[in-house]
Amino acid sequence: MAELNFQENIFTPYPLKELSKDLKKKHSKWSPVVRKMINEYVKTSGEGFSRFSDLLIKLMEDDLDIYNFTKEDEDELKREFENIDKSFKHISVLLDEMSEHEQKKLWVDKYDSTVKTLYKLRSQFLKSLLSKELWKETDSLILTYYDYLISTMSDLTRKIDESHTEDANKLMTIASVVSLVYGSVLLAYDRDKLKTEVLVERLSELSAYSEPLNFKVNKKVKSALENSKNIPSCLLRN
Amino acid sequence: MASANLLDTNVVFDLIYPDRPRYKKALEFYKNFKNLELSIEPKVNIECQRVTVEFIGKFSTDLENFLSHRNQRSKRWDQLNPKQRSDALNDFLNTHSNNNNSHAKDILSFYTYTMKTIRSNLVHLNYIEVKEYLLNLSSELLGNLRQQIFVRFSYIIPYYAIDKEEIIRFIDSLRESILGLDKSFSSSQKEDFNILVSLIQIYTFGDSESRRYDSLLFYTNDENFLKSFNKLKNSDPSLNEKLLDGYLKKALEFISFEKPY
Repeated sequence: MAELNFQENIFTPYPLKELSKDLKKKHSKWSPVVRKMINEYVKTSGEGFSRFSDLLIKLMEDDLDIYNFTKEDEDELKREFENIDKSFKHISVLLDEMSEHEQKKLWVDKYDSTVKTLYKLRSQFLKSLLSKELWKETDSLILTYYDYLISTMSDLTRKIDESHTEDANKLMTIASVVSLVYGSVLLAYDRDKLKTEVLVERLSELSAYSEPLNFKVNKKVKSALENSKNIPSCLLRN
Repeated sequence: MASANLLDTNVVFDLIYPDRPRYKKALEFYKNFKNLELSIEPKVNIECQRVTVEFIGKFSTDLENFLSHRNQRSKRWDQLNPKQRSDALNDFLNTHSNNNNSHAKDILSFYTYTMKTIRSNLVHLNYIEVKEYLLNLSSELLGNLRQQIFVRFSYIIPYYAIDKEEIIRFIDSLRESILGLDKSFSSSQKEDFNILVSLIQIYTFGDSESRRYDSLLFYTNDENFLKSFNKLKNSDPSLNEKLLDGYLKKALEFISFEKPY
C-alpha cells in the first residue's frame, strides 16, 4: 500500500436529518461561526466516521452492490449516523438560523476544501506509488480511482454552487453519499484493508459518470498512453 | 410514449473497437439506426467500465511485478537497449502461457494483444516511466471508452427519486420475485439480473427525464442471457409478491431481447 497520509478528514458530512427542516431565517452573522464549528466538527469526528467507514467497507465486501442493504445493516448504519449526528446538535441549532443561500455557500466551501485537500495530496501519493516495488492490483488502480473521485467531487461542488436551492439540496445529499461511500474506499486502501473487487466495482461506477481531470503526465508517457486507446478491444467476446 | 433500442455490453464493445471480430457486422447493424437511436442504460455502462478495469488492473500489476523481480535478478530494465527490453516483454508473456484453464487463456489473449499494441512505446520508456504509464493506463482507457459511449449512444437512466419509497419497495420486491423464478440469475448472471431489473424499472416508471416507453428492445449476443430471459418470461410471476401488482408480468410482455447480428 502506498501512503496517503491524510492530515485532514476527507469526509464532508451532511446532517441529513437536521437539514431536512425548513431553513428560512436570515442571519448572515452566524456564517463564519458555523463555518468554524463545522471545521472543528469535521476534524474531531474522525473516529465516528472511521467506524462508519469500516462498516461500509465490510458491507461492500459482503455484497458489491452497496445499496442492497439488509434490515440489520441498515439499522447498524442508522445507529452510527445517529451517533455522529448527536455531536452535530450544537451546529444544527446555528444552521437553523441561516438562510438557504448561506447554508449552500457553507457546504460548497466544505466540499471545495475536500477537493483541494485531495488535489494537494495527489503528487505525494503518485511519488509514493512510483517508489513502491511489487504492486497489488489495488496499487495499480488506486491512482485512477483517486483522480475520478477528485473529478466527481469537483463536478458536484460546481453543480451545487450553480444550482437553485431545491436542486442544490438534492445534489448535496448525493455529494455526501459520494464523499462517504467513495471516500471510505480510499481510507480502506490507506489501511491496507481494500479488496480488489470492491475497488473495481466502485471505480467502474465513478468512471461511468465522470471524467478525470487532466493531471500532468510525463510527455513520453502521455504519448505512449495515447497509442493505447484500443487495448480493450479483445475483451468480452461472447 | 416511445420505444427504445438498448444494447448489451458485448454489442457496445463490438461497435467501439474496430479490432473486434464482429466489428463489421456491428457497423452494418449500427447503420440501420439514426444517430443516437441506440441507447444504453447505466448497468451496461458500468459493466463496460468494470470489464476494462478488471483486465487492465491485472495486466498492470503483473507487468510491474515482473519488471520489479527482473530488476532484482538480472540486468536492470534501464540498462537494457530497446531490443533487449522487447525480449524481456516476451519473457513476461511466456510466464503466462503455461496455464491451461479458460480464464488464464482469456488473460493470455488479452496480455498478448495488449503487448502487441504497446510494445513499441514501452521499450522507449525507463522503469519509472513504465510505472507511471501503468498507473495512468486504466484512466486513459476508461476515459476513451466513456467518451466513445456518449458520442455513439443516448443514455437512458431509470427514474429513481431518493425519497420515493414506493419505487425502492418495488425494486426490492422485484429482485426477490425474479430470484424466486430463476435462481441462475443470482449466481452466474448477477450482472444480467441487474440489467434486467434496470430495464423493468425503465419500462414501469420511465426515465430520469420523465419519458415513458411502450416497449423496450434489448440487443445482446449473450446466449445465456437470452435463455434465462425467455425462461423468466414463460414463468408465472403472479405466483409471487402481491406488491408487484402485475407490473412484472406486464413489463416482461413489453420488453424483448434479440441477437443484433
